Amino acid sequence: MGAGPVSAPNTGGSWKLDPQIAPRTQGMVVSGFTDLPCAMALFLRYPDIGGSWLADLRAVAPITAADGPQSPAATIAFTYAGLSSLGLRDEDVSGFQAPFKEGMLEPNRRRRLGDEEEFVPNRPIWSSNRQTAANGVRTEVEVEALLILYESTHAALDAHVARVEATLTASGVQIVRRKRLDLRLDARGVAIEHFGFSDGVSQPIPYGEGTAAPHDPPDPVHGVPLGEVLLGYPNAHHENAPGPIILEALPSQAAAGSVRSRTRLANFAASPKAAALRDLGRNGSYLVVRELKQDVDAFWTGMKAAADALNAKVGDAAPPVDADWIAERVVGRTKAGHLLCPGGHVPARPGDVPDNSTLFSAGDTYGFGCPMGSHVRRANPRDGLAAKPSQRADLLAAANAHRILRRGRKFDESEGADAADSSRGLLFMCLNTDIARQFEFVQQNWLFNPNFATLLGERDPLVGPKTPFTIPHEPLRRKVEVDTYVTLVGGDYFFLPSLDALDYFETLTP
Amino acid sequence: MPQTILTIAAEVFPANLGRLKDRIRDLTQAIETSADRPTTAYAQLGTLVPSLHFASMMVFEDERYDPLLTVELNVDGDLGPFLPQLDVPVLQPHLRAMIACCKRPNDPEGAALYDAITKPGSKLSLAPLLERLVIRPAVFHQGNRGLDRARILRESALFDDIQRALDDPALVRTQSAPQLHTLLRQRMLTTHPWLCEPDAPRIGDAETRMDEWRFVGFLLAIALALLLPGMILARFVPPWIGGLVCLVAALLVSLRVFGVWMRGRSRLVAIAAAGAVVAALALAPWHIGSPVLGAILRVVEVVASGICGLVLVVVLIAWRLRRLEDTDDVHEDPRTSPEKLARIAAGEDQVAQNHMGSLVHLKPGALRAVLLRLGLRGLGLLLRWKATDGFLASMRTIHFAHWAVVGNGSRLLFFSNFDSSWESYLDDFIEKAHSGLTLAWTNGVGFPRTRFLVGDGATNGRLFKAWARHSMTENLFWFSAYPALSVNQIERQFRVAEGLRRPTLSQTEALAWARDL
Repeated sequence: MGAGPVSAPNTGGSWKLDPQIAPRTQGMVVSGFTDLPCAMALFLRYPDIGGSWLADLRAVAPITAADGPQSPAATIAFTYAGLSSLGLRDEDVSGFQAPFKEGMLEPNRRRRLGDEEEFVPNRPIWSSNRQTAANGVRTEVEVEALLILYESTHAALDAHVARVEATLTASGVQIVRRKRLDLRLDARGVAIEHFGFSDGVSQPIPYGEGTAAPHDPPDPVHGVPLGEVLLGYPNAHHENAPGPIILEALPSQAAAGSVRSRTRLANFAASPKAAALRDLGRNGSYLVVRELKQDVDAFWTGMKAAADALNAKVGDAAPPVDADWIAERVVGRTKAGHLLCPGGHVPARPGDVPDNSTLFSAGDTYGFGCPMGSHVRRANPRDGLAAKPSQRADLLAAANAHRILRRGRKFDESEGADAADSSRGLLFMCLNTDIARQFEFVQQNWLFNPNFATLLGERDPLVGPKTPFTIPHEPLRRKVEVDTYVTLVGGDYFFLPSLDALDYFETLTP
Repeated sequence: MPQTILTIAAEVFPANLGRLKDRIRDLTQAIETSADRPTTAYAQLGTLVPSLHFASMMVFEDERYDPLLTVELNVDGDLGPFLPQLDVPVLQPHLRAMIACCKRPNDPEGAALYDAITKPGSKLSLAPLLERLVIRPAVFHQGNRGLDRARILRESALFDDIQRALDDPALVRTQSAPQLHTLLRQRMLTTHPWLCEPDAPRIGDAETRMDEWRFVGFLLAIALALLLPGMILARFVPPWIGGLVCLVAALLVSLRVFGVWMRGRSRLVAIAAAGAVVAALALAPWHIGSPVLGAILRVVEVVASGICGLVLVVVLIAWRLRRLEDTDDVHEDPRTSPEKLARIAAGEDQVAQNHMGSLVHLKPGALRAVLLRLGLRGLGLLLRWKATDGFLASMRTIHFAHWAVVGNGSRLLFFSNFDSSWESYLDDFIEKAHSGLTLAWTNGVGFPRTRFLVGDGATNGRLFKAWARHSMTENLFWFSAYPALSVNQIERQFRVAEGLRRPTLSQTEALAWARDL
């Protein structure tokens, strides 16, 4: 691969899966389907009807595999409750991760993720309603599966969605929520989020066993073992990313006498851990979904207020700053996506493409360019948490054990007929194989950590709650206040099955 | 000022378990409600027990043992002056009631103390009994060594005052760092006059030298212990037997080396064994034939025998250890009840710091017993000598942590007070400082497979986390004297205060100092 310094923008697209593995893996793992800019997210519910509807669905909207372009494309993922509605029984399967089983809104998890009411004024409106504790939040909308359909134009998408919805409804599946998603790439092929900044610039680049070139060296800055995004392959903690395992001969299915089901079960590799178990998770992943509403007006008003307050304090001692200046420091990049560094920003590559191969510790140790507490530095500190030069390599390696592969798309309902319901935001989606060590770690220990780096009492200025925000400067740091601009509308953890697992789910009976 | 880190442990009479937990709850409530103003929970305890940094109370339940009550204490100064602080009226009755829930000690003196203290209406000090229950740590570590609690809180208050002062446009507009330093110093001296007083060094020279010598002495003692078998053998055994033993040993070892080499399993064992063969063979000719040797040659022979014996003993230990390590049971999927996990989780992530208490069973056998004690002692002395700036490899998130052996070497306690989440704490260990942790826990039953005590082990992320989580229990009581401060922040405010103590700073010094503001 040799990505990194010599590759084009790091969109994570420069790696490929082993040709044996790609046909068994969902396309979302290797691609954000950027050639299909229009998409619709359908949130499904199908209480205890079994898995046969999946066959009907796949007849009209085949779930896209990772080994080739397809139009239209489709991705499907299930919550834990959704798997049991398909007919997957607790006693047959083990090894699903605790966060996935407990759900994103489990009370202790909400506190860890910074999703408590104290920070998020409005309660989320959708989730899997999986949380088991008595004081858990129940949401109005209950989601069991997420189906995303991708098309090249909105007209084609609408026709496709109509066909798919008719099929789903006929099979007894309810569509409980729809979200029209949009990519709106700029001329460089980079997505611009609603606040006006380039998004999805920095992605991990998988390497090693399971990729098409398993012996290529990892990308020096963004390389992660494939097992960080795909279950069943070596991960950053020296083991094969463990997924769910299933009994070879299911008592429940034997009673139903489903020969087809047993045949498909035999498609799975034997679990490396013990005989008589099959690796249901292999070539699958976990999909984290968070619907985030962005208050664009409040964001720019807040940036303006922060700039005014700072200018008033600094007076004639330094040239005045504007809202854009503050916003760039909050994000850590220019609007075009270039990382800030002392004296300006990291020079662009030809075509104004962001160069994402920069490390922090040597060039911007104290955050005089890209502030320590800025969103990009918190979301991926790279080697920037090294307290001494001798720790740089260790800290970069440690940070790369907490990467997520982002597949989100934005939504915009502000032009709809009902102004009261209008909203803009991001359907944040990311793939990881260890939810606690990857997504939750990033959220809790980097974005929302009041003691991140050498800061005290601050949280992420872009996606966090109201917080002070330090902008390093000599001789004295500048400090501004920023407010809450991003709120959680709904979210949960999903299992993104391999195509083998999907074949098997089709055979399940309630 | 040096700190004391220890645990008071007592077995609970099982029928009293519920009562004991109620008593701990009462104690917590008493501390909270007697506070003058409802500030942070346990604020009162901070005033009552002014040298306390961190404290916890937990009860470890275990099917194979009676419940174990642990009171973890991390305090300034020595134990002697500290224990009587626990006799303050708010605490004493509750602690007395807790002691009454524990089993009466077996020894007559302990039993007499226990009876006197738990007698209805007793007003006796608890200190003598508590002192008998103290378990000293085998290994301990501190993040901010040499900073007593009063100093941490004083510097934190200074830091907060500085932050407020820096809202003043007059200071914001200062153009040079030395000028900023002078202005801030003037303002802070009025409210913080201690900035003019001399401060004691955090770690005294005598303490540093002692730490060095302790570690070197430990290594020498081990070397001596390993030399002894060979030296004794040379002294008492007729030379021809010595020669025979050497030859047989050489033969056995070379066979072993050949076997290891054939199976390609461990190059290190092979090299060590080859060394032993050479040493044994070199020594053999002196014994065979036994010419009359002079006194000097005799000494050389004894020392050489000692070294030969040392190599043989080390090879034997390494060989036996590797066999044990390859065949020890590894706990693949420890089952912990969801209710217990939920209770642990409910107490976590309430403030910026977290607490972990763990109790594990230890592996059987004489070799394990020896390696456990030597490993912990060596690790403890090494940390004391080398980890003075709070860093373990590249991680610095631990305020106070310690391991302690309980029950005559049957179980190992671990307590830690650390920054940020439990997941991040364990990930730090897995990604940055796994060798020391593996050495400390390698003798625990079910710990992930290790190599030579320090290799692998904790690098197996998922296995290790599951194992560690399984060994934990929930906090019934946990106190932190400064719950919002990280180890890094305490160092940061220390640097700020140190800068302000000095009347002037150079341009470079002032710029570096101002970066911490």
